[in-house]
This record gives sequence, structure tokens and C-alpha cells, in this order.
Amino acid sequence: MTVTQLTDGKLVGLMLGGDKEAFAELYRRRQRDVYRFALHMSGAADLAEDVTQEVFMVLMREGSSYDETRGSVNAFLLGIARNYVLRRLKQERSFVMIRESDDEEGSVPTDATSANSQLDVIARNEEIRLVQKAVLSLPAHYREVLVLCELQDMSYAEAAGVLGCAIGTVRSRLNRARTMLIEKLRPARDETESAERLKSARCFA
Amino acid sequence: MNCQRFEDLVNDIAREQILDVSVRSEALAHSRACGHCAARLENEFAITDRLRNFASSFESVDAPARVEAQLLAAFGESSPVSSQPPHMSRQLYWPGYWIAAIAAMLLVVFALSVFRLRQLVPAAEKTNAVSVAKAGSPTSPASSPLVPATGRHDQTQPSAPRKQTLAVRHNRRNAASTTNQAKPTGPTGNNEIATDFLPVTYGGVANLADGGRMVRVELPRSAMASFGLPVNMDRANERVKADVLLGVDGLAHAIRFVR
Repeated sequence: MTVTQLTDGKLVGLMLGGDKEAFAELYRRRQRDVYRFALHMSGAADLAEDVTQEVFMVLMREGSSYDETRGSVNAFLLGIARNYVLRRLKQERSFVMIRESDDEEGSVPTDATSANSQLDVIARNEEIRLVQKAVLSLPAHYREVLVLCELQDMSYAEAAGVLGCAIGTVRSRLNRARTMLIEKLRPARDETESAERLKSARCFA
Repeated sequence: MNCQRFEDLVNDIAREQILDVSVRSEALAHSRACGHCAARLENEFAITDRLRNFASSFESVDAPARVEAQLLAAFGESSPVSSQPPHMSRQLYWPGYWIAAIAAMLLVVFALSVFRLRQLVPAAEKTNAVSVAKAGSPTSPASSPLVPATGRHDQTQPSAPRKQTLAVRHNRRNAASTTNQAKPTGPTGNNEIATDFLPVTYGGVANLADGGRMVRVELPRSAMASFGLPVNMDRANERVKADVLLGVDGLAHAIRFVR
């Protein structure tokens, strides 16, 4: 049986025994979730990179503290990532605030292949930037629930495991986060629509 | 269904979560009848779409390849337990760590200097004692007026100058202690006197043989009164030494006062 067929829990066990291939497989499986979580939480690619590295270093050092009965490896890693992200955001609050107001290259992915025209690409990137800015402006305890449940497709129970809170708390925070997001995006959407109306009016003039 | 119940469900409906079919159809029927809830549902569907588009735009985003290379290099360098980060993250540059490190170094230097000072003080005392002994009778310490013949630390080997000085020092302390205190009930060491153990709890006095340990503490002299011992109230604020007998349960079982 190759490492690709093993469960995450088995891979952790092999990794603790010094199996490098098991660690590599585990990293390839889980780095995306960890990296994206950190990226969505911070909006900064370099911070997300640092956090991803730290999380897997912790797994190397303290992987023996993982208890399979308490949750999945993914939840374990995201729990570590959450702690690191929150700590870093607390330390670098001003840094993150600047990032929120900046147009950062690299933090918003460009997807030219799926767009029919350059304008579509620009509009899509602008939409992504608006949503990202709105997500980043949420308080951290709402943002983390939104990121886990909406952007990483986790169930309420899984998110509750990562955050160490009750499922009801996750539900209510998600509800509140979405409501806040609707409010934050409403003026932007209205402005965009009115701008598009104005632009089309000019075209037809 | 009312609007409050709908509010509880609108999130799950918009996110297409698993819901009972009848509850879902009931909620949708309510939204068709209630303009406010219809608008709410529309907003929820819209935000769901936007969030899904946003999430899908990150589907191809992975951690940079260099992270994997660095981690694998770190894994290869040492065992998982003792491995170090492949590079110092920005956290280690945080000034707080350096401040803490400097503070720790200062603390160590201070502790070492105090330790050194405490070593020097007995040495000086020893030197004084030697001079006293020599001034008395260099050949027969037992005949010195400072060394009673019946003392516990009587010297049987007059040729050992170091023991002479110790005997002088111990007997000087014993002589001083017997002049200003009531009768002791038992010695605790070479130069200390102590009361009997007084029970602190109702469980009786624990025995060190049962486990536990004895801890030396300092208490205000007034604390002796709570054990029925006489206290000179003029000196109530002074501190006295005591040995507390801790049982294996970590509780104080007995106390004795030491001087």
C-alpha cells in the first residue's frame, strides 16, 4: 500500500516515525486548506506562507499531540493555523489595515483563461477585490467562521471542531457574518450597478 | 411559519444545506407571502453566489513550492521532534523576544552575583572565627571560654583548625539563643532550636515516613499566637522561621517554629 492510499491519521503516525514520504504526502494533501485559510483571514500572501510553514513545523515537532478521536488532521492543522494567524494579525494589525486598503498583487488571483474579454477579467477581479475587502473588514471571530464554512466548505460541526466552540455558536456567527457582509457589499454593488448604467448610457449616447 | 422562524432558516436555505423538505417548502411559501422575507432570501442567495465565486477564484491557489522544499529539507535534516524551522519567521524578529532575552540574561547575572555574595559572607565569618579561636587558646580549644566542655560541638581533635572555628561559631550562636528565648522542645539542626510540631489540620500530624516533605517558611511572629504560643506584641511584626510539614496530598499538616 502506498502512502497516497493511507488516511491522514496513519500518515501522521508514519511521519512521527521519521517517514519523510508520509510527511510529504500529508503536506500535499493539506497545505492548500491551511494556506487558503491563512490567506483569506489575512489577505496577505507572505503571511499565509509563513503560517503554512509554521503549521507544518508544529506538526513535525508536536504531531504526537494529535488525537484522532478529537477530530480530523485537517481540523487539527486549521486549529493551529488559526492560532498563528490571530497572533500574527494581533502583532501586525497596522500592517493588515494597510493591506486592506491596498490593491495587492498576488493576493487576488487573476483568471484570464475563463474570461471572454479583458473587460470581463477586470470586472471579475474588481468583484473579487470587493468581496475580499469586505471579508477582511469583518471582526476576526466572524471572519474565521465565514472562511471555514463558506470559503472552505466545512460543515458546522467541522468548523466547531476547528474553533473549539459549539455548533450553535458557529451557526449564529455565520448568520451574523453573512448579514454584515450583505450590508458591507450593498453600497459597493449599488455603486457598481449605477456606474455600469452610466457607462452604458454613455455608450448609447 | 412566521418571520422569526424564517430568519433562523434563511441561511441554510440560501446555502442549500440539508433541510427537511416540508420545512423548506414551508419557508419558501412564507417568503412568497412576505415581502420582507422575500427580500431577505434574495439577499442571502446573492451573497451566497458572490462568496462562491470568490471561493472558486482561489481554487488554483496553493502555497508556494518553496515552502514544501524548505519543510522537506527541515524534515530531512533532523528528526521530527528536534527539527528547527528552515528560516526564521518574522515572529522571531519581534522586539519582545529580544527584550525578554536581555531580561533573562540580567536575571541570571543578578542571581549569580547574589550567589557569589552569599558565598563570600560565610568565608569572611570563617576568617573572623579563626582569629577569635587563635586569640583564645591555640593549643586547646576546649579550654577556651567560648567553647563549653559539654557542648554538642565539642572538638575532640585539637589539631583541626577548621573544626575549631566551626565549634566557636556554633557555640556562640547557641549561647546567644539561650539567653533570650523560652525553653526549646527539640533541636532541628546543628544551630537551630524548634518547638514541637503543632497540628494544622484536624487529621493529626502527618509523618514524613508516609511521604510528603518539609518546607521552610517565614511567618509574622503574630502567627504564633494562633497556635497558642506566647508572643511579645512589641515584636509582632518581626518574622520568624517555621517548618511546615506537607503531606502527600499537598496540604499542610503540621508546623513548628524555628529559631
